[in-house]
Amino acid sequence: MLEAGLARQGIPPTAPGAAGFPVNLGADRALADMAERWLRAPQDKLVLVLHLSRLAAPAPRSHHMRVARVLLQDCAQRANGHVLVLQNQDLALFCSIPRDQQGDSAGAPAQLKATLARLFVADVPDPARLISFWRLDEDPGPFRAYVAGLSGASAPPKDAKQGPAGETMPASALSLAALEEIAAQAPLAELIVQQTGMALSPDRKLALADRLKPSFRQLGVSLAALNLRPVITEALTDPYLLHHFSARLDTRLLRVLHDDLRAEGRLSRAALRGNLPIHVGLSLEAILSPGFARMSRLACAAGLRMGIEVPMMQACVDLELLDHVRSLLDLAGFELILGPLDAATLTLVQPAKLLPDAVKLVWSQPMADAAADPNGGLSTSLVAIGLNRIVLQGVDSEQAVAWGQARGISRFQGAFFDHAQAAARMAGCPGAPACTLRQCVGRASSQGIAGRAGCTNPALLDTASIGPHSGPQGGDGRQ
Amino acid sequence: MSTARGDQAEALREVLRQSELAGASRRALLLHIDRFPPSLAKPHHLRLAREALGSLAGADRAQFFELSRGRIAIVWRSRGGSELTQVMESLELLLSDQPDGEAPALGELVSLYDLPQQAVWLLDELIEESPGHPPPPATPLDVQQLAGLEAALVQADLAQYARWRTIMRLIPAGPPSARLARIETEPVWEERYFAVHALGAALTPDRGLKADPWLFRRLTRTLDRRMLSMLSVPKDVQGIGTLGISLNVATILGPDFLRFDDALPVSLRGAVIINIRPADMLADPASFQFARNFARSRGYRLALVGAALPLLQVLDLPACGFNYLQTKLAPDIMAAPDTLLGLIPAGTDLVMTGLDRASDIRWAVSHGIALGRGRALAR
Repeated sequence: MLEAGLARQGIPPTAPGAAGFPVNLGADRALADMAERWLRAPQDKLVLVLHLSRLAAPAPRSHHMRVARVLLQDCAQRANGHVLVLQNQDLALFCSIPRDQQGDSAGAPAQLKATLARLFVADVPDPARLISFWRLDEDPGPFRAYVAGLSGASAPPKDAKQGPAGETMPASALSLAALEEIAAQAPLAELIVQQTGMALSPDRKLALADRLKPSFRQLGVSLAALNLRPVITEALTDPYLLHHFSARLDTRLLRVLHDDLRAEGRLSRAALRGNLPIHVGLSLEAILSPGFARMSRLACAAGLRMGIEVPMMQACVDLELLDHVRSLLDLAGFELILGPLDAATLTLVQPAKLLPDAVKLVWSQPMADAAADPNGGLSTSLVAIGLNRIVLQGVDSEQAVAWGQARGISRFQGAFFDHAQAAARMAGCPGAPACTLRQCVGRASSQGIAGRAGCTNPALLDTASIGPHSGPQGGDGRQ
Repeated sequence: MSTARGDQAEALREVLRQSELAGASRRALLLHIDRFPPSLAKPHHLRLAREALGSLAGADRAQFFELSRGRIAIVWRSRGGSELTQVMESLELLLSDQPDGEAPALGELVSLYDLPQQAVWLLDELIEESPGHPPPPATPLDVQQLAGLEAALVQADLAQYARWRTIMRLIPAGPPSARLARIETEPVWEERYFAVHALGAALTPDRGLKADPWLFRRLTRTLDRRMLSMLSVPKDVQGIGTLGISLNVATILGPDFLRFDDALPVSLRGAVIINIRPADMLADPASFQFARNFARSRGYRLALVGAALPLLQVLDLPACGFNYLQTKLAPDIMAAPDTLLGLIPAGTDLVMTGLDRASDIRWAVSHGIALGRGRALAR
């Protein structure tokens, strides 16, 4: 499927722009003016700030801003207030409510605070952290510091704001036509990318490099090389268009894999040499297609092990179809993998009940925070899946590895390992002085000729061990 | 009644399509001769049943259709008050031939439909017709056609495709000893929706709107916006009581819904139930949770619709936080009702749909299910 490829290649998930909320460049000036006036006469003055800037990327999404703004404005109408959208996308509500009408809880603004905290419960583990509520006549210090901090920082707005699934108005016929053409004609062989997942041995006496062994090789399609126009990438933020588009590309991907297997090409050779399973994301429709049957026959004959990754939404929407797919995969000896799953999905679904062979879990700090409670729903869900079935995906830091390790997860995938593998390759590569680490990562990821151009030792690119290299071996086959 | 049954079924389909396209008001009756118990299926019983239908021959523009398994359908124009009464009385008389307790309820043998609103139900009955010639799979839309359709729907007059159906409360009546002898029903809320089948037939007759499920889901967002604009006329929503509408998560968080919310009298917010489909909930779970919490903070209630038992077992239903779970009666539910009932979180009400026969209603009530929808309840 396409999603993983998009994320891995760092394609912005949506077009830039705050989707209907142009940043008011004078907003912070207005805040400073307002603050000055209110701090001069703080009696009965209340300020509520919703710190949307504290949400982790890709948030704040446009619906966060739109809905929160409506709620704040509602409150402003009832409480003689005023709303400002700040340059960093925080929202500030200024109210003036006579003390005798505030009650213990400061009335409408306090209710609003509770409502906002409920809204953001799926976005941050501690939504209260997003909201500041100050009574200026009691303690103006924190508000004063907040305003001072803003004027010092003058943070530019984040440039990627994603709306809710498919929030965009009908995509233009032009962009949809372009999508259809890309699905039919894009040079797929050049767009195939790979990433090697690693298995971490529990033996802590060894150095990290010695504990990590290649575990699987993920193949997917990335459109980064096509340098798509923003209008196209925006259209692909609609999950339904993305599913449709991915299904079209899957058919072609299967043909590429089939042809590679038949010709004993590089994709299959690299996997077979390292005895590594190949993981491929496919739609249910693609798995049930004749193209999959043809490809799987060749893969089985070649002794290639495969794991097929199915999107959770598709798996859930037609469980009968999923059972059919499971039978097909069983017959071929392939693994059924569910993913990628984030914390919000794990809140709503119990993947263990779908009996997958493996689950790809997307690392994020909010996910780690949500799983901090060993008795919480997310922790329970992970245990129910079985930690040996989990692959932690999107691992971009040592912190993520440590988190996974501490929980007993042993398979990982992400940029952190891509870089470690590249560093190990470069340590043993005579051409390395002419390359950067980033170039080595990018070339190893790409399976196309153009994407690997510039490497003087391309045989090394398919090696994925973290330890020193003496040649172009793959992994050792252990998982 | 001269041609083969497959042709008769096709002719009936055409009548139903025309009724939907033209918005022409018709009445239809389907006599399920295949549901007659053996003791009532003797040749003279069947002859009497057919003769009973003869009373409707005099109704305005009456058309008869012979279907598979001996079933007979009649479509006519007027409400058919006196003729219909005669038919029902004749059939009651036929049933009275049976000993008490063995006769099926009349409602199990006869289905009545108001067209065009309930045309889709009668179409469902025709799915099994022409088994030797299953209809070819519809050609799906492509994305360019989708874009054209979205643009057309923004302007089109969709009033003729707007439909409603009612969720009913099922109330066991009578003394406790005969608790299930009689079941009363009362309407609880009305669901508004667009007849997608008719819409597709009118706008893209050579394509199946649902043939590509992902493009169809996307198209529903445009339909959401049109539904909201239809309901944004205050005089149209005043006095209708509780109302159910299907919306996508993206719609709830979009500007059209915020405008709708702004225009809706505060007292009516609690009277709107928003139906959400599983695919939409799972397409973007974080947005769903945000939308759910926002809608609830504004007083709306939420229903999960279209999730069958296997999916309900996979979802963490308490965490999903719906006020209602709407699921269709199916053999797996009838075989293990406690499995379903054990899944329903406290504070969530189950709505059983697909109650198409009187026996379905009795089954639902006997398992403590208090809300339902189906053909047997629409009569």
